[in-house]
Amino acid sequence: MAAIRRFLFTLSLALCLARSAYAKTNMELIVNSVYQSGNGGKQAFDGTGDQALTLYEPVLYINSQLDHNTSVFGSAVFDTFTSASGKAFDSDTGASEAAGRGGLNLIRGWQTRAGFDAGVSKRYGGWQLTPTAGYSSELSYKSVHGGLNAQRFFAEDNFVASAGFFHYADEAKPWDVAAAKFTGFKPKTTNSLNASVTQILNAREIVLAGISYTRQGGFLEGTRNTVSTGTLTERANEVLPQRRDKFSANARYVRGLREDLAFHLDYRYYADSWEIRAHTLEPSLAASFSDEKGLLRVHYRRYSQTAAEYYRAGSYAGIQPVMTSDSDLDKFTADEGGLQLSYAPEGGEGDLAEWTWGGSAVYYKRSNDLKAVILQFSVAAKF
Amino acid sequence: MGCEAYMKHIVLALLAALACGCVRVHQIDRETLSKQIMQFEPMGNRQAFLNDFHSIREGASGGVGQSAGGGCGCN
Repeated sequence: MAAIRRFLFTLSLALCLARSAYAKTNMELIVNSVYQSGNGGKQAFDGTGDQALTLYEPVLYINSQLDHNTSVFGSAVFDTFTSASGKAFDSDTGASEAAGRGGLNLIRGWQTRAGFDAGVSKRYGGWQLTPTAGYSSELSYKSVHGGLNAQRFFAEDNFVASAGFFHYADEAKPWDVAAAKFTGFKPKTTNSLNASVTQILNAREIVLAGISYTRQGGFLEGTRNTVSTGTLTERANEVLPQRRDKFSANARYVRGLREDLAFHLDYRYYADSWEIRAHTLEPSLAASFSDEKGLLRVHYRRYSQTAAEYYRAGSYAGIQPVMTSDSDLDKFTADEGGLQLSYAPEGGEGDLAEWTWGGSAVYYKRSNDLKAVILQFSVAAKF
Repeated sequence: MGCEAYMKHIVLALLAALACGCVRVHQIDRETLSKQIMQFEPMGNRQAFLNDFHSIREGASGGVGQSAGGGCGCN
């Protein structure tokens, strides 16, 4: 929390100092909530398969346009969530409810995560550079990350090429099932390269194509993921390779059907060195109403993936060099549908800001017994 | 179909799409394109959270439009 307070203070100070007659600032508070349930979690700590999880996540976004070519932006987040594998945590150790039976000081509590991200975007002629940096911390995971994105504009911005590099220096603190305690933090690094091109096709159509390559190393297991090594009561920590190479390619297409209605189609292909292959297809419609004061988005998303080559739903015959029962690495399909709405009521004279209110409701269902309802509420102010 | 075959189809489709895009649309003709409904992510920050949720709950995390870092009840 101290880090977030420092970040908000520094960002506010920077915005005040940099404020000029040109400066325009947007602030948006979004409260995300997730209500997840399902009994397909073969990795669950206590062998129940229970993956119930509740998450509340308020995020504050600030974006200020300092002049014609420069903007600064940042976000601060504070999550509070229950365990996905045991419903309750020991508030001191992060162990699940089942692990608390060994005499740990079990308190039905919630875990928290705090973090922030910030960046600057500056345009130099036909180029735009955007460096970013961020930090987040929770009981068993820390992340320090940064990156640089460069965009090049061609032909009156009809064609835009973009490339970026991002580095994550993370640390994870796994729960040792056999010893019933946390080990120390272990390093996990992620380096990601991506590139994309955007082309305006005509006055009503635009298309984007992108690729990315990500290499991860170090501790890649889940901090509390386990496998069965015999009966349900005999469990051991999952073991995964210390390297993972990921490749993805995506395409996005938008077509304006009318002045107030647009059709969107997104597709993503993914392949990695653990033999997961995935496809994502997401058609959606975006519509404006009430003289563009209101905006409505309706989407459907279909996702499918193959299983990681190390995945096994059943028991392992003793400790293996590589073993996982993480349901996120299983073969499954997922369907998602949702509705998102925002509305900016007409402001009165003397109002300090233009306000926009928003809400979202999304339903997500996986074929391997996991479902979630995601609700979002947002309020934004433009100064 | 193998990974290489998929990639070949994707690359060909993208090249075909971009090859169609040689028409230059001047700034003054971009009234429709500048509308919020035409943005790739018209709901902005709210869609970013959905991307994060997918990257936590699915094996295909990281890369374009996806968080590569961890956290957020991902066990």
